[in-house]
Amino acid sequence: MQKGTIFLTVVALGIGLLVWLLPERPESSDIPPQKLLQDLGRETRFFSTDEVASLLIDRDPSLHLIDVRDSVSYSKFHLPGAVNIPLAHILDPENLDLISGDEQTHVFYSNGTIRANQAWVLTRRLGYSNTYVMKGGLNRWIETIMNPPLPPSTASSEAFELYDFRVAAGQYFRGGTTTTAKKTKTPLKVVPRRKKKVVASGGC
Amino acid sequence: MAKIHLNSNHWAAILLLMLVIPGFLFSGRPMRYYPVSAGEMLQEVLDMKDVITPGQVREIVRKGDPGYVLLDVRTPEDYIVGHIRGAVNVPMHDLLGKENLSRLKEEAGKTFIIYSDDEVNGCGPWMLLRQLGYENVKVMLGGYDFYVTGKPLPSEVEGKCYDEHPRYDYAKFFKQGGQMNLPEKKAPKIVVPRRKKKVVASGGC
Repeated sequence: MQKGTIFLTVVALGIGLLVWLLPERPESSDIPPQKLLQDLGRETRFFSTDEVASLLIDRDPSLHLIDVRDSVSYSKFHLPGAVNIPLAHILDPENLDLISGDEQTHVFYSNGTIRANQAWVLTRRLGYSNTYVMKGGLNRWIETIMNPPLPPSTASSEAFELYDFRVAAGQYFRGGTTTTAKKTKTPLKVVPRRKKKVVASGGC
Repeated sequence: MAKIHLNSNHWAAILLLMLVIPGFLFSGRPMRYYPVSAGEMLQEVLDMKDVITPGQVREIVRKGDPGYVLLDVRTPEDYIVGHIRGAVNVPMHDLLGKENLSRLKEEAGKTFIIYSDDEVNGCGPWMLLRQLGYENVKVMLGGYDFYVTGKPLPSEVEGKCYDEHPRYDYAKFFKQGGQMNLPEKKAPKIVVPRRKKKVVASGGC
């Protein structure tokens, strides 16, 4: 009987050891390197500033903006509705929980693209599939939405539509009517429309 | 029930089972894909130790330093149009090819400098190789587009990513203490028609 007890003990210990070993595979949700490389080559992980602006204006509840800059930069300025997860804390479990939901589109942004992209690479590796990057970051946000360049007169009508959208969106995010907003509004409004007419009559 | 008698054969069988069962459990399941954990990679990214400036690369190219290999991860078309002298073209889809990986291993004493057109496109391949345990890879700040300007990185981005430098005082563009406010009632008269126009345009030609 003693040997039987030893036998059972050994089996129990063996099973115990296995159970103990099982959660010893951290990051088992890692995606294969080939898959990560494939995703890295895809432009679909990027959101343009225009797309983000459009979603914000529509108040699309599925948009979840994540500011990966430090908390000081965040408190100085951030996009409306954005939550702050500094890059250094992106892998904290409670922060990973925030980006795990499939019902929302999680869009990282920073001053440029690179920090947001790094957050994307790390979370994508860990298997989070619903994460995106705002291409160009806040620098491009200013250059496109707040201060859009006037397309050349030879540009397509789509370019002028986009320009009009950006001007309107810029006014929207500035908070509507102030004296400064009015000042910029008049010339911006008149110039593109005139040019657009020319393009339309010459075009399709 | 009869007593269980265990002779050496039984013990051998038990031992074998204890080796085989975990073996089965772990076989068919890939080992860990990445020797470097996500947390370690994050620390590397924050430390910025594996970056190299365009100025340093120009110096390496000028000297013809044999301790460095430049990896151009852009497309072959871009590579033909122009590349850094001595650079080897490894397009993204070949990055994890046998040829490239075995070269990284065989020439472990050398430092491989990855560059693309910009920092962002160079950073992804670098992070991927680093996570796969290749320690002798660095990434060039600014990318090829900055390299060809022949300029040094601006002093204000020293020790940071070129791309990440704030080019504007963002808060200045907005009133109310720098916070963007979503207007509640007054704005729609400006925004709504324009937004609609955009939708028409995107559906049209």
